Amino acid sequence: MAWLISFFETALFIALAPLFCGWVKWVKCLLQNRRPPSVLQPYRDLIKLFRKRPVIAAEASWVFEAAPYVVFVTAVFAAGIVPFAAHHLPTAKVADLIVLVGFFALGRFFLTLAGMDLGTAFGGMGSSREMMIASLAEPAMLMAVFTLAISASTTNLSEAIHWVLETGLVLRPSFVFALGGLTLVAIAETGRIPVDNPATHLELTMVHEAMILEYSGKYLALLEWGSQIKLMLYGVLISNIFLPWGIAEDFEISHLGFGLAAIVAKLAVLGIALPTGETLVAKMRVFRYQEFLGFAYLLSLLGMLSHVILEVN
Amino acid sequence: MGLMQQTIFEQAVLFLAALVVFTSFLMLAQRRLFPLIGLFAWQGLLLAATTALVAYNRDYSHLYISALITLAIKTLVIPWMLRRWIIQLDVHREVESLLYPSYVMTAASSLVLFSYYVVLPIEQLSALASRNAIAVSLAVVLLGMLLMITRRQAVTHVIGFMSIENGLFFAVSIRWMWTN
Repeated sequence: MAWLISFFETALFIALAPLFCGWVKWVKCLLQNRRPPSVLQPYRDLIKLFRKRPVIAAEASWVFEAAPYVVFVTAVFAAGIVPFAAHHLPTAKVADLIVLVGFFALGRFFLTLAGMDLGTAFGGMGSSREMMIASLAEPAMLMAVFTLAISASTTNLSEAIHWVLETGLVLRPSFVFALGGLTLVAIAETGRIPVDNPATHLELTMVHEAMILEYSGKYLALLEWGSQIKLMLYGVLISNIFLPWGIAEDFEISHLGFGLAAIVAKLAVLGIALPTGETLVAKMRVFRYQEFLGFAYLLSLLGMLSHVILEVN
Repeated sequence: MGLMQQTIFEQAVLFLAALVVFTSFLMLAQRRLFPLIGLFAWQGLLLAATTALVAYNRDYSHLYISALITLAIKTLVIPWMLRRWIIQLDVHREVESLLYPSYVMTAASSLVLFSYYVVLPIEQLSALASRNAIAVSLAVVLLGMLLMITRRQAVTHVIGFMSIENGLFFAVSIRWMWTN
């Protein structure tokens, strides 16, 4: 029964990811005084891409064809680990936060390989930038994750959420700093403004788009879907770690329904906050990424320090 | 004594303490003068808020006066005067070049750890939480010193010195929270 709910929840997560992306786009269009497309537009794009015949360059190796599947599957596995509407799920119990970071790293590794596979200038440039961002963002993310893990004395996400729920509302300076650090990392990793612009194909600024420039058809659809899942994963991670209230503790239908409603509401709020932030700031120059992510690392480090100094005896 | 056993007021004071250290870190990273003064004013505001919170919780009326003076001088008068000086001296467009910003940040975080370990053996202090708060204020003092050491401009030195004073004041006002 628990496994069934777990699989169903992961499937729901994957199915809802384009909707979340569409919601973010919809809010952003309204904020910029444009007429928004329907929130279902990402689904239409995905269906269109799945129907099209992919074109692959003659020089492409097997990495080029395998990468979209790896990216998508790691995103799906990561979605299985993160508690969505309920915790205490068997899929969440088998893997912890470090595995989650590892899944992200594996997907990114194959994506950068695929970007370099054809030997085009843009692909290589995008890959090198992605690696630079990753090498700076990953320590910050791990530091934030460890702050949570030390507080809850577990690296398992489901147990950590249980611990946060059990201790109730406590003003923890370390969690506020870790939340700040994780938010900045999420912005960098999902390629949003000010680090990367998801809506542009301008040569000099793109990171994610540069790597997937050569893809078409179902491969492109898988990559797009994977990155939509990743965006929602960060949203769910942030809202469920730091504000887990409402998540279902057991598998009663009413509790599950309430948990689902709670997480959808939290994501809707996040989906307003993210484009608002994006509208307020301008995109950074590439050479300033290091400062941005250094700040994220500093926040996570301060979270750890304030936990050690202020919160334990 | 963990954070969960404490009252919401004590938690709030510790939270403000963490924010004060955070403003010190931001000052170390800030290259422009006007935002630096803004950060200094924010630190003063946090200081005044902490003092007022302690005064409210422990019912010390004399701390309200202290909070008011802090609010008036550190968040309004001193930043305003510094601002005027900067405009008069015509240095408001200058951007200080930070030598090795990442080394400065590493040094800053190790100073925070250092101050924690310095305060660790002080067992005479009444409560553990107050010891931690002392560690935080010592960290603010040391970070202010680091700000003075790493910069060249006189205005930044003044701000670093004031932030040392902020750390000392913070230690005094936060001590009232856990004394009987």
